[in-house]
Amino acid sequence: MSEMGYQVEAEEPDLALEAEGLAVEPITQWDLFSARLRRHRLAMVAAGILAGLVMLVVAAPWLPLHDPTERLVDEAGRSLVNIAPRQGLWLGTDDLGRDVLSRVIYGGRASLIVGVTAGILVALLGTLIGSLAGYYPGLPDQALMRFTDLVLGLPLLPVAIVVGRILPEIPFLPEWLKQGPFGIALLLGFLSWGSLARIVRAEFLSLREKEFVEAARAAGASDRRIVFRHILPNAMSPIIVTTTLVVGSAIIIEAALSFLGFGVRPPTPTWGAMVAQGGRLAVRGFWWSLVFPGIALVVTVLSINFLGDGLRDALDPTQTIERK
Amino acid sequence: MTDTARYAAAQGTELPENVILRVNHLVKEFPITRGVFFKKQIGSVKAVSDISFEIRRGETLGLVGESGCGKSTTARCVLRLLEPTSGEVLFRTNGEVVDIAGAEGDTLRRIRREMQIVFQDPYASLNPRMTVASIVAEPLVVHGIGTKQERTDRVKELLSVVGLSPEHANRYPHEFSGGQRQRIGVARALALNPSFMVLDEPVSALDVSIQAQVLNLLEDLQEEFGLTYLFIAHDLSVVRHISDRVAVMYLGKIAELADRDALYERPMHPYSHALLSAVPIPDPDVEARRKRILLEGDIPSPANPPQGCRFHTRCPKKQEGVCDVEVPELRELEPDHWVACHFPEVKKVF
Amino acid sequence: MPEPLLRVEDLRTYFATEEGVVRAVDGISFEMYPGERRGVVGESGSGKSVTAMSIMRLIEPPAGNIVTGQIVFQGTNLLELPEDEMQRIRGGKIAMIFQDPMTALNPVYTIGDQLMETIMLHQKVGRAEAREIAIKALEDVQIPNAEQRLGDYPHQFSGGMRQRVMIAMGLSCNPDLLIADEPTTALDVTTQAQIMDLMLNLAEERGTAVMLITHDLGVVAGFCDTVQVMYAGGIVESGTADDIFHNPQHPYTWGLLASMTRLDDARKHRLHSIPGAPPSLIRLPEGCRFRPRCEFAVDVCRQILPVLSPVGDDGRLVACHRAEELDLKTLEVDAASSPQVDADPAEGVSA
Repeated sequence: MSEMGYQVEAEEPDLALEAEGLAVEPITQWDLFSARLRRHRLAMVAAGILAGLVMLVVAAPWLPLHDPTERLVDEAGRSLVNIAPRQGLWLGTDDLGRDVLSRVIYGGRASLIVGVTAGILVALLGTLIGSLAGYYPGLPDQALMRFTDLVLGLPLLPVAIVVGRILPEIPFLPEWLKQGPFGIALLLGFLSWGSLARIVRAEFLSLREKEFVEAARAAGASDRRIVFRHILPNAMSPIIVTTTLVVGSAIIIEAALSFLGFGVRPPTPTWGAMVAQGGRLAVRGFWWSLVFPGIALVVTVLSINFLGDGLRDALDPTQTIERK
Repeated sequence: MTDTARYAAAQGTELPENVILRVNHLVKEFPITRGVFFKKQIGSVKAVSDISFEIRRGETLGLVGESGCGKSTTARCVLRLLEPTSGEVLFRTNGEVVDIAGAEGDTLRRIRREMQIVFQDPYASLNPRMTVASIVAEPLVVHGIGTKQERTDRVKELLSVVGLSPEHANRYPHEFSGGQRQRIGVARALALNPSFMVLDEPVSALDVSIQAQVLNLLEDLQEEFGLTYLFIAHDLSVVRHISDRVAVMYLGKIAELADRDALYERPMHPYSHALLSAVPIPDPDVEARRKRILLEGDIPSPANPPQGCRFHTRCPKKQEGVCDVEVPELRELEPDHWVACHFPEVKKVF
Repeated sequence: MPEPLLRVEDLRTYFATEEGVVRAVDGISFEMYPGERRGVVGESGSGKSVTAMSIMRLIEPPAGNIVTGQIVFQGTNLLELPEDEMQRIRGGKIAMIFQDPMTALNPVYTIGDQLMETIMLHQKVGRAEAREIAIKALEDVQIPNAEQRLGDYPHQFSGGMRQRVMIAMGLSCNPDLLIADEPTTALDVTTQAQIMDLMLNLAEERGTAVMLITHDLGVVAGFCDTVQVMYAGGIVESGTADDIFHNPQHPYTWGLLASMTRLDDARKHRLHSIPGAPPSLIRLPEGCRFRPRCEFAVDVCRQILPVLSPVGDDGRLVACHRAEELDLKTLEVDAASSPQVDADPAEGVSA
């Protein structure tokens, strides 16, 4: 975005220039970015799906849905256990008679909270540590990168399982951290910023040698200005793309943890736990308990990755946009 | 006396009025390290080894040499984009003389308003995410000069000075051709009204028909604003065209330093002979007549430069026991014509 | 007149991009004779490299396509050959040297392996004999200790030495035509002198025809017998090197020569400059492609694309409506006659 808010003054319109398409209004980086993103069809579809999902899970309490933990019974008081999809129960019920549709939607809450929270945490930590290491060579770089190596060396699943077990036993921690998806999200975030930090450091190392950075330094620009005005904006593409990948993988890892029984505590629904339970039911012919949460999981993660692809292209400043 | 001591002594210890910048015994070495945890220095690349030269007000000093000779490193040390290992860079600003190599904080910022740089690669030297207006205005913003409106006006003025339309201000760098980008780089360098500019291969990346446009622009600006240039290039034809004096560098040292015509018409260092004879001239008749001096082998590694004269491993005139033992001093063999060779000889090469 | 070694006729090579069709080479015709050293000069985007890639049939569909034309080499139209026969010609009868010798050599194989592979591919010889030929080839390009260096990897050679290896590889099968695409652009000037000297000696000794593609008119002056000047995908002028350099008849050639700095030019003068920049190959101007930058343009230049046609009787070809009437040689180049570049808003904004 133009820092000076530069505007072409309302002078005599220069016809020759207009004819050549040279007299133009300022186009901000944001305009360029969104125009490029709109060209990327797959990313736009993915963005639509994700937007729909977010609206659905946010609006869930106000939608005409059963409580995801409620065990449904018919008029006669018999439990509606393992009912195949039918009118009113569009995705059927599970072995405890709970509405699968409602559970998929509420499960999406947990998954999205885990993905987005872990993603934000990774983006912040990875960018901060990577840029410090990349901009200050020598001791700070060495110390930070060895710490990063250490974190990268931790085996994700076992550590998550162990810490996930210990967490609820720590007395002074608030309840939301012990039980809900936030605990898992923070845990995954703290364990997976390492690769982003490495990528950001590498970007900084290459960008700080670029001539436009030297030019800024020759003009007397401060370190802060160089980092925030020249280096970070040009490193945004790998940061955003890596973060989207982290969001996808955090959702999968949370599912894996829940599948193994170490994730969000039941009865709160999550896609991973539903798939685990659904797997046991599907072998008995009740396929809907497995297929619907499975589809939700795969479609969501795929959409996130496609959106990441689109963002990478949209963030490439040399991709041209025809001026109208 | 050591290598360049004589040169430095001959110039006197004071900076004469007409000298805007003097480099004294500049050394720049890059450490070569090994190991992950405990970095151990196992050697160093001697990019610039004890060179001295001066630049006079309003002139263009050409600094030529092949890749790895240290010319760009020298320029970056002069601008303090790199920290010199040792040596002085004296610069005259507002009547006082400051050593750039030792300047800190506010002094350094003040000097930076006076000296600017134009880079070789018009693609890498402009931030792709900034508009032309913000690129050109950046030095003004950094130094807190003017209001927004004043800066906007200044950007327009600068763009027209370098031959671009002010309407170009809101475009992004990738929308321009190489020559136009180089003009944007020049406009940015001019923003603070510097008195001294380093031009680091400013036309090397451009096509021939565009080179002439940019060279003409640089000459016009020099005349209009009384600029002093340090012009770095590997193209000796371009250097002859634009320079008043020329320094030839080889492997971190100055081999020869003279007035432009003296250097091209009466070169004395065997490396200058080889370099000049190697440059092709766009004329089949001249080319058919010329005899090239072909050098043996390749440039040695600057991590392990040869003993004695650095050029002796490839020199057609080297004498054992002298050239491979003793470092030749830069000596003034004719008025203002300095040569670092044990056996200098005037030779016309084209 | 002997049979031409190579005859290119109305070659058009286009590339499809998101923004539109790039007409990289747009209707060029020329001939080369055995032993001829021809310079193909032009600025970036003039189509000189694409011409070479088209001759070698290295244009990759779907993006790039040779739309029309003939490339007749020793009587055979290369564009009609099946791929396996073309492979035998590439590196055999026509060899190519690239600008960047580092990327043209495979870093994981030794120089010897790569040389011998080429030799065994094109000549019916065994390993031992191929090795002998490889050593001889390296000795021919003056690489010291050729036998030991066969076992070295590309990164163990300097830039100049690598280009020597490329030349050895190119000449190892005694090609009839060597295409050298900017062979010295990545090299320092003293190394360039060594390489050009070497290429000249080898080509003369063996009578190899060489097509030298370069933007450096100086290199052409020292090496080539004939020159073709390219601009925006077309040939604007061709003739003997002497004629082109001493008596240019196309305004572009003339402007290019006048805008060059020369080592032997002691004058302190203002350079002539060609205003503007080359046009976008997607949106070529109507009429003559050089017209927007040409100071001699008249009305007809706006409407009709001039064809390359003979001027005089010395084999000179010029694509300019005013070639006969303009006498560029007598024009004094000075600052005053230099057109004002800077105010030209039409200077192409190219993406």
